[in-house]
This record gives sequence, C-alpha cells and structure tokens, in this order.
Amino acid sequence: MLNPLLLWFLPLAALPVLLHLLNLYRLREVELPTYRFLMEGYVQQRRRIRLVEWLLMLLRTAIVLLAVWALSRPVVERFGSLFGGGRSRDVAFVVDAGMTTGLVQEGTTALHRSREAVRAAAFRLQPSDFVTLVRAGMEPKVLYRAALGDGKRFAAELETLEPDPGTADLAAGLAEATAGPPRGPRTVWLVSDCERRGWRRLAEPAPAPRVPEDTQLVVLDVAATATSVRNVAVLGDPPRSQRPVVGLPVELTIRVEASGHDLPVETKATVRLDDDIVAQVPIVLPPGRVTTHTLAIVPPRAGVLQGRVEIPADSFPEDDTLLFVLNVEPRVGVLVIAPPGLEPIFDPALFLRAALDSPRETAAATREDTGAARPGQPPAGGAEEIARSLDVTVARSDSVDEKKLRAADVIFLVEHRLDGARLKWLRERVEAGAGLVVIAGSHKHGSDDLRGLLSSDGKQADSLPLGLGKPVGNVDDETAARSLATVDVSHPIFAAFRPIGATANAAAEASAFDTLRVFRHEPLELHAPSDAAGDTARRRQPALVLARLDDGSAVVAETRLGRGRVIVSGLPVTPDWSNLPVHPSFVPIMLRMVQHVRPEPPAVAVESVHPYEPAPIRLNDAWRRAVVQAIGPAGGRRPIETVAGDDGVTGALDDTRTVGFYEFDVEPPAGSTISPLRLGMSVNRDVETAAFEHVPAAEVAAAFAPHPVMQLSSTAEDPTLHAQLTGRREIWRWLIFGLFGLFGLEFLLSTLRPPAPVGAGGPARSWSQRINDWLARAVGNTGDAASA
Amino acid sequence: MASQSSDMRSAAGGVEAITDPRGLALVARMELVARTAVEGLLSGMHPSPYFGSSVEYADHRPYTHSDELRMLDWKLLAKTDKYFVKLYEEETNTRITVILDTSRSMAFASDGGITKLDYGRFLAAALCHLALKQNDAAGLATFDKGVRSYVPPRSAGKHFRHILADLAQASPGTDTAVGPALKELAARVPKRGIVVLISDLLDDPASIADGLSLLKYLRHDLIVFHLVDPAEQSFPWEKVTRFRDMEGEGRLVVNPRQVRATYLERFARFQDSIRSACLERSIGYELTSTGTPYADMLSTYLGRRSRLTG
Repeated sequence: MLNPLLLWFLPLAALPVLLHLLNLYRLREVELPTYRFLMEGYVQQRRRIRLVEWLLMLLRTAIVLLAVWALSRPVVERFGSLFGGGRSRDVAFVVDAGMTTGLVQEGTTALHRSREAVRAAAFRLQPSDFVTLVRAGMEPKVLYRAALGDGKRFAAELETLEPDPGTADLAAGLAEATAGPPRGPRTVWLVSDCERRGWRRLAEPAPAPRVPEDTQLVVLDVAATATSVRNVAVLGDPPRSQRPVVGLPVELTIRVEASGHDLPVETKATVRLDDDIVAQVPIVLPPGRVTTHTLAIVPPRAGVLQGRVEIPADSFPEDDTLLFVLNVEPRVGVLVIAPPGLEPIFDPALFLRAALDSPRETAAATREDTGAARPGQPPAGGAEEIARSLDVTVARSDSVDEKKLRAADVIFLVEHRLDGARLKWLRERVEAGAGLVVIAGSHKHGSDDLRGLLSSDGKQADSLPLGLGKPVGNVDDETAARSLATVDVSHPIFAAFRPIGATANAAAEASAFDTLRVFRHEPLELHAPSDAAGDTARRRQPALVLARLDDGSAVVAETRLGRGRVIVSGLPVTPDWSNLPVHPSFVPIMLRMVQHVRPEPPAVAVESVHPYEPAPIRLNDAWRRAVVQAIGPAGGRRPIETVAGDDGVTGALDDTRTVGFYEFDVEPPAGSTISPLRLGMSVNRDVETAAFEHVPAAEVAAAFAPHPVMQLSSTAEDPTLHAQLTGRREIWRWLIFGLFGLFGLEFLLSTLRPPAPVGAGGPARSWSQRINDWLARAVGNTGDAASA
Repeated sequence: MASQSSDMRSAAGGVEAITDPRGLALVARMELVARTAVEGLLSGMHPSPYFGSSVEYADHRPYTHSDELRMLDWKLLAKTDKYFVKLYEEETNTRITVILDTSRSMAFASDGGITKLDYGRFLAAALCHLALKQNDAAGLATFDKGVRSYVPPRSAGKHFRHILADLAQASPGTDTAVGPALKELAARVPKRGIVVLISDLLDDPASIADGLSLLKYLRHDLIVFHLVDPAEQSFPWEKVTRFRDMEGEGRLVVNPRQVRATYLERFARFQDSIRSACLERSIGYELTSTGTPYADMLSTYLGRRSRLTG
C-alpha cells in the first residue's frame, strides 16, 4: 500500500542515468601516452567492469527507488509478521453509549461515528487478535470478548449498539474492559463524544488507576466539529406518589432547561394523559437556567393512566419528553352508620353527610383550601377536592347489611348500637384494611362497649387499647364548656391547622380551635396494650392521642385493628353537646379523617424510575401468593419474584433499561376472590441537564494522568496505531535500512579494486579480492593477467 | 619547471625560434642549466663518467680479479703488501651521440610537471655539455617515426650552440617508432662511440631491442634513459575519465580505479621487458622519472655509473 501522491517522485529513479550521461558530457579528458596499457587492462577487465558498472547503475537506481518508496510510507499486509507484527494483540473497544451519543450532528449520531471508527479499527486486526467490545452505558455491558475470527460476530454485536437513556459510566466501562489478564499487548480504545456529563465521573479521583500501566490508552473523540448545540430539555422527576383518586387533582411539576441559546427561549409544554391533551403551558426559558412550572391535572378515570410531558422537538429530541404514570384509585366509599329513630336536628348522620358531601369553603380557617401546596409538604388537596372523591352512604345500625359494610372503604360509626353479626362484619372489614371512625353519641349514657365492637369474642385481651368513658360535662352550663387545649397538628388529620412557622411535628395549641366549645363529651380511656400471644405487633401498640381538652382528658386518638386504621373521638357530632358540627374545622377534620383512614392500596408500585434502577412493587398479605408479572414497553412479559416480609410481599423489576411504560400485572392466587390488579410504571431518561459541553483535550488527559493518553479526533485513521493494531506494517524503516545496505554495496562496488594477478603472492586474499574473484568468475574472467 | 616547460613549448617553433629573443633566452637558459649541472659534477666526486689510463693520478682502490695487472701500484704493494690499483683521469676523444625522442608521447606531462620532451632536452643538453667539457665530441639526433634531425658529433666548443639550437627546435612530432629510428641512426653514426638514447620508449619492445642490438653490434656503448612521467607510473586518476591515446585515435571512458591495477601491472611489465632487453645486451639502462630534478638524476646516475665502470 503506497501513498499515490509520492509516486510522482518515481521519475527520480532516472536520476542516476541522467547523472551518468551528464558526467559523460562533462568528463575530464586526459591524453595518455601509455594508453595502450590502459586499453590492454580495460580489454582484459571489460566484462567485469561492465558488470560492475551495470550493477552500480542498478544499485543507484534502486537507491533512488527505495528512497521514493520509503517516503511513500508503504505498508505490507500479508507479511507483516516479518516486520514484527506477528504477535496477537489484546484490543478492547469501550464505546460510549451515553444518551448524548444519540445527538445527530452533521448528519450522523456520535454513536454512529463511534461504530464506524471501531469498525475501521477492527478491520485492521488479525483473526487471532483478542477483542473486547464494551458498551459503556449507564451500566457497562460486554458485548464481545473473544478472538476476532472472521469478525462477523463482532460486527453484528457492534450493530446492536444504541444510546442508553442516561449518562454513560465510562469508568465502569474501562474497568470492565481491563478486567482479566491481557492476552497480548493491550490497547484500550475509549470511543466517546467527550461530553462533560459523561466524563464527570472520570474526572473524579479514583482510588486506583483506571487503566493498567502496561495498557496503551487511546481516546477517540467522535464529537462533531460543530460543538454548539441548542437544546431544550424536560428535566426532573415525574409526579410523586400521591395516591391519585378519580376526580382528585394531581400536582405536576415541570422542570425545563434551555442551553446553547443566547436569548430567552419561548416554548410550550404539553401534558397528555393516555394521548389526550389535558394541559398546555407556555414557558419562557432564560438561557442556562432551570424553569419550574407547577400545574394540576385531574385523572378522569380509575386505573393506569399513562402521561407525557412534551416540549417541541429540537436537535436532541431524546430529552424532550417526560413520561409519568398515575395509578388512579376509584372514589372512596364512605358508610355512615348512625342509630335509627333520631330527630333530624340531633341526627349525627345528617351532620356527617353534610360535612362529607357538601364541603364548604373553609379558606378562612385553613390555608390549603386555596389548593396551593405548602412548600415542602405533600399536596393534600382541598376539602372540596377530597369531597369530590367520596361516595357517601348513610345506613342505620339496625339495617346495615354485610354488603354495605364490605363495600365501604371508610366507616363512620356513631353511637355504636350494632348487633353481634354486624359487629363481626365490621371487624372483618376493618381488619382487612378499611378505615373506621368511632364517634361518641349523645343519646346513650354510659361507656360504649368497644370491646364488643373490636374483639371477636368480647374478651378484654383482644380489645383496643382505648375506649370511651362515661360522659362528663353539663350541657346546660355554658360556663363549664371545655375547649381543645392540645392538638397534634403534625398528624394528617390536624396538619391543615398547623400555624405558619410551626414545625411539622409540633403538638401545639391551635388557634383555629379557640372557638370550639365542648359542653359534654366522653373522655377516652386509654388501656395498656395487650401482650397476649397471637396478637400482632400492630395491635399491641398503644393508642396515639391526637387531641386533649383543657382538662387534660383525651378526646381524639388513633389505633389500628388488623390492617385498618381506627380513630376514636369522644366529641359527639350533635350540636347539643358541642358546637363542633357547626364549627369551621368540622368539615376539614372529617374529610381528613376519611383521607387518613381509607384503606391502603393492596399493591403499591413505584410509578417512575430511572433506567437500570430496580422498580419495586409491594403487595399486602392478602396477595402473598399472587403471581406478579411485568409487562415491558414492547409487550414482553417477565415474571417478578416476590419475597415475603412482615407486612406483605415485595418484588422488583430489575430490567428497566428501556425507556417507556411498564405495567405490573398481579394475578391473585388460584381460588381467591380478589380481583386482579394492574399497576403502571414509567422509565424515563436520566436527564440531568440540557447543556452539551465538550471536554477539552487537556481535561481528557488529566482524567487519566499520569497514564499517557493518545488522543485522536474524529477518525481512527492513525498510521502508528494501525501499525500497532494490524498485521499491516509500515516498512519505511526497513527500507531505510535497505537503503543503507545499498549505499554500502554501492560503496563497495565503486571502490572495488581489480583482482590481483594470480601468483602475485601475498597472504590470504581479502574479502574485496574474493568479491572480485567472484565477479570475475561470474563474467568468465579469472583476472589472471598472464592468461589475458 | 612549469615555466621551463612553457618556455620550451613556445620556443619549439622551428629555426626562427633561435633568432627569436625568447628562443635565445631558452637556449641560454638551457646552456646555463647544463653548465650548472655539469660543473657541479666536475667539482664533486665524479668529474667524469669514464675512468681509464691517464697521466693524472686520481685515486686508489683495492685490486679485484678482473683488473689488469699493469694497473697495480707496485710501489704500494711493496710498502704495504696489499694490492691496490691506481686510478687516473682518463683522456679520451670519445664520440657521444645523444638521441632524443621527439614523438608526440614525449609531450605528455602530468599536472604541474614538465613534459618528457623538455626533460629530455635538458638532459641531452647537460650530457652534451659534459662531453664537450671533457673534450669529447658531442652530437644530437632527434626522431619520432624516423630521424628528424641529426647533428654529427663535434668537439668544438661552439658546437654546443648548434646542439642547443637543434634541441630548441625539437617539437613533438608523430607516433613513436624507436626501432626503425635507431636502425636509421646506426647508419649515420659510423664510428664507434657512446650513444645515449633519451626516450619514453613507447613502442614495441622487440622492435626497440632490434634497434639497440644493431647499435650494440656496431660496438657503440649504449646508454638508455627511459623517461617516464610520474602519472604514467602511478596512474593517479580517481574519477571516471575519458582517456585519449596521444599517438592514436583511441578513446576510452573508464573508471581509473577499475583498471589501475591492470594498467600498472602492464606498464611495469613493459618496463621490465625494456630493462631486460638492455641488460641482456649490456646496455646501460636508467629509468628516469620526470618528477626527479635532472641535476639530482644526473648526479645519481653518474655516481652509480662510475662505481660500475671504476
């Protein structure tokens, strides 16, 4: 293989002939009287001299040809082993497959250029060379590690390279490439677009050298020459888990960044739910700054909703979409069980239904009724929104049936007068996860026997750690009215009443309850938790007091029964015992009680993960033997192995490499009456920034210092590396050696003395004489003067 | 020496050259050179190339087997009981004929040197002057392919001027034919004498030997001064050179290094053949390099000659 341009020097080969002719023209002429002796000698030596002259001319021509050849940097392929290229090499290609390598510039992506460069380099390898191909994505993956052979399998693996949905871990890729003993002189090619986000980890100090000392490191920068990229990206996490309910607004935060622009960029974010546009937000992006925009979307139905936040596609469309999933729950069924036969004015069901069904605007009393989320606090939604998610049913204690009880998610039990069978249904329902709110009644005197309610056999051992005591107070003496002295505003029920500036866990006096008057109530009786065998740890926990009156008596407390939450209130919801039913705090408290005690979902799955992050799913005990499968974006199913724990089973999907929507398909165990479940989950690209910044060569070198780095730009065409990589060898050095050899031979021939006459005496013949003898014999002339 | 050569070449234009001031200057210079050389010799240890019976005592030397008994110094024998021969300066009337080769090859001179013809001219002049100084008759003949001029031997003092004029007129002629020229001269030199041949002898050695044999047959005492140029002896050229035959049309482009050894070997063989021919015929042979000053050469030769004949 030659450099064809240098072949223009080939006519130089005629130089010796021209010089010879020129010298003939300019020859010095000598008149010699003894010419005849010269002629005699010449005639005798003529054949030998002509042979030598021809050899000299050939040698000189060959010298010129060799010089031209050497200048043309020739390489040999077939006989490279003769020039030191026969040893097998260990070549590892670490290809940066980070998200940025999908950027299309100058008509191709960086990964495409990487593939071409690797293909060009591998083309020069020998079949016996040991080749490793590492895909350096978010997690490294060895695609090929074997002798190259015919290269077809290597080429096929190379074609499978695609950009990962996140930032490449180049350090891990290098570690993977250099793992194991080398199979020969090792060269590691790091083929990368040298984007800063990918090289950030490489720039961090490493406890050990990233590349072994005896390894040659080549960094091939495949970045396009036009490095300025105008890009707008949707950043950040999808909506956090908020247990969305049909009709309840869900807060969605959009973080968008623009880079590569000099002026503010106007764009528009479009939010889709199941391909339906639900919101469009115009956004103005100052260059280099992240803009956050919050909006609320309302799930129109229960089930898995697949959502997208999209901005108009730009030069790098991969970061223009954010996927999210809402696992929307149906409305909450609320059952109010009240005693029959009460006058409407004293019927607590009336007040409760009014509070749950027709919430009033309580903005004056609660801050979150405006719908704005408290900074740093999960959005709880306004009372109106909560109310919209409820289906309230009122039943009398003598007519409530099992169906109603089993259909209810939250049960308000006012003035407990249920018989044994209904109590059993209630208990089973609560233990299965339903919420229960027990409210004292004003029409019976004496302690409610909660033991009968909350134990299967009425034994004290199974009872709750709290009960309702005998009523205290005089409804006719307003001066003896009590007020709430202590309220646990850190509890979700009362969190809305937390004063501004108070800590989240504070149990402070709440000014919102200053006007609340309690004339008569049933103080809660707190019992020590039972230690009986067979009790669950949850049931042995003490009750949590949430509110006390100014006389110190507990009036609101929380405990658990099975998987259900139970709130017991000693404050009746009839206006004759207190002004609570007409107090502004009544509606929000009731709504938040519903929100708080409603059943936990049977299965909880993470709604969004980054690529390669495990996506966990947790099922409660009822699903302990359920079969869980994950459905990928392409529709493929993968079984999820679950592990049983104290409060259910847990599993995880570990194959989340592909960006898109996933679903967990939960099949109940055979024979179970539970309906199948389906939960959604999304995998988003790991977009940290919208900026594209090329790492300069100095930083590339510094990342591996003091290890030497050979940096190539855009192309793998480097003759030195080719010589190292391939069986092809540049032979110009050998040609130079040959040139010196020819010079020596030319000197030898041009200074060759004619052979001494045989018999002239003298010691052994020198090497030059022997050459002369050989030449003489070659031309059939012994050089013997006597015979001439 | 170079100036001598150029002077000689400019003077070698014919009879007119003698009347030319530069020609006269050359003749005068030649005479001066000859006298200086010869008088230097006379005042030294070898006043004459010939020793024989004479009235003037010269020296003693030990008696050797071939010496005549009459040469013994009987008185010294009686006194010392040792045999010595008494030497006298010889008084002769020998005819000396100097034969100078004026062929074209004699015009050769290596770089910065004197031509063989000039060297021969000075050598011939010196020998003639020496002969005339000893009251011998001196003559001169020049030749190339044949005899070009001949000045018969005379012992008159002004004869030397004739010889010088003839030498001045000698110019390089044509090819060399030593043998025929010697045969022709043998007919012209009737009386026995000394014949001195000054030539580069670039001719067929057999032909030369024939010519010398004829002169020897006529009982001439022959002395051959074989003139060679240092370049002819050493073949000093290094670069590729075009050589042209001085007495022919031959041309040859050759790398001297390729042929030097063969040339020198051939040339040495030629010299050996000439020397052998001379020695076989009891002819005095002196290989004379033009690189050697003729005064030194003459002194050396005469010294050796005196030892041989004494």
